[in-house]
Amino acid sequence: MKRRTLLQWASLAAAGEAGAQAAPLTRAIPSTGERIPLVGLGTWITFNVGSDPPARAQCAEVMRAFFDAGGRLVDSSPMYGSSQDVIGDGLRTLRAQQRVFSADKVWTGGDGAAQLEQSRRRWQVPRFDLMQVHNLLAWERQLPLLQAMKDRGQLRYVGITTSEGRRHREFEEIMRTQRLDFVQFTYNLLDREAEQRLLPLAADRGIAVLVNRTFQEGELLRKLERRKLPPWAAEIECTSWAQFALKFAVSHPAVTCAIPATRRVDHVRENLAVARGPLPDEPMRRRMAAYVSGA
Amino acid sequence: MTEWWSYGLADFLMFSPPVYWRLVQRYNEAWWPGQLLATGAALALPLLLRTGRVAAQRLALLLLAAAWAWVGWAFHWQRYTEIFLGAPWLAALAVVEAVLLAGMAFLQPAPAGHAAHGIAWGLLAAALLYPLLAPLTGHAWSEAEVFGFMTDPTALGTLGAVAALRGWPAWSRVTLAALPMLSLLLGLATRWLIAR
Repeated sequence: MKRRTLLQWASLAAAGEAGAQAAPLTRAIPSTGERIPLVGLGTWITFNVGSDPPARAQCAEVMRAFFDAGGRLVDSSPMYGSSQDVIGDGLRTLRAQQRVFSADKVWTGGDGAAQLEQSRRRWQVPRFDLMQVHNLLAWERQLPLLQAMKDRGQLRYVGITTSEGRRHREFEEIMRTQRLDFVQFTYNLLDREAEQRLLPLAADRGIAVLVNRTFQEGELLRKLERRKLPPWAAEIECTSWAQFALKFAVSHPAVTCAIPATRRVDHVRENLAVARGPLPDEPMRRRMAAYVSGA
Repeated sequence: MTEWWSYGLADFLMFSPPVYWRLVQRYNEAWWPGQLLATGAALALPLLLRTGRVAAQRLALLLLAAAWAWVGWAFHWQRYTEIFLGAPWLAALAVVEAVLLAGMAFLQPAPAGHAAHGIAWGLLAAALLYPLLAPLTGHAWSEAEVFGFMTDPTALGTLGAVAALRGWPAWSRVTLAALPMLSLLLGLATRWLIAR
């Protein structure tokens, strides 16, 4: 039996008892064993729509499609403008406060607890599942706060984030020395620096990994769409460049969940479909990266 | 934050172009037909300034002060803050410009000032005609940026008026021109980013 086929079976097994058709593939959070779907929902730019009712309704429809397809983890930040309010509206409309795996960030050099409480009210959830220190801002002050809140049961998981390769050395040091459940950083077909140190370290330390910018805010797809999808992409059931890019990101064994952002229902369905089909094995991942590097 | 150097200009654009233009559209719709009144004010500016009379020029500066105060409150503070975290700062800058204009209106000008250069009338005309950019760039009229409602045409009108003032001290003109020029640079950067 080919390794790829083995991987397919392993993936299907991980889909759980709810049925391979219905439930997306999941990965375990190392610190607890809790499983979350491989594909989440980011909200940078896409959910920052202000108070415009039609745009908010559109975001709620995206969330509906996301949850209907089995998605759970939604990620935001106080830095994302009105996104937290828009998520809160959507969760209330869909009555999905218990269903969502809520991931947000603390982004201040000041009173992190006050900001976190403001974020919680905007999300309209009883508590956050995951709270991360955004871009390592004042992490020396905010991480102990988050850990204390976790110890009191006010949070479930604690993490740190960065993006676009910023401060990787310091990020790595924090991963080595602090108690972390999650880390979040950029990983995609072109930005693969994390493969060198951060991803292996996360696997070694038992830290869950969220990956952002899987499409480089659309820049990667705009580059790729100048070419036709290679015929061999059908072997891993990719029907678009977006699925190709997303499959690459989530198939790294150390990645727990990717969080592509979108404001389109068809795109969120397409993204979640990635967590249903087969995932590329290592030779296929190398082939994907080589193909895109030559693009 | 020691890594600011690693951020590109695009990293500060936290909303999508359709969301920005929809915001402008909703803002315009909420205050229609106030834009006609504001356009009337833009038309009045060159007429007031051409007279060269001190009272007329003071009135022009007070009109501009009102325009900046309105842009700061009605657009930046009431609307733009919904989607842009830097909007309160822009609102504050607009209010500072309004205060400066109102304060400078009561300076005593020199009795024999120079007549305005053609560039001043060109800038004032640009402020008046700025809404035409909407249809010319494929946007609806409801997304037009009007003097007294949006920053860029208001900044153009201010620069034109400052250049057209007769007898006002040079330091006061430089002071009044600084924030509009900064606003135009920010506006240009925003336009460039959302057009990408």
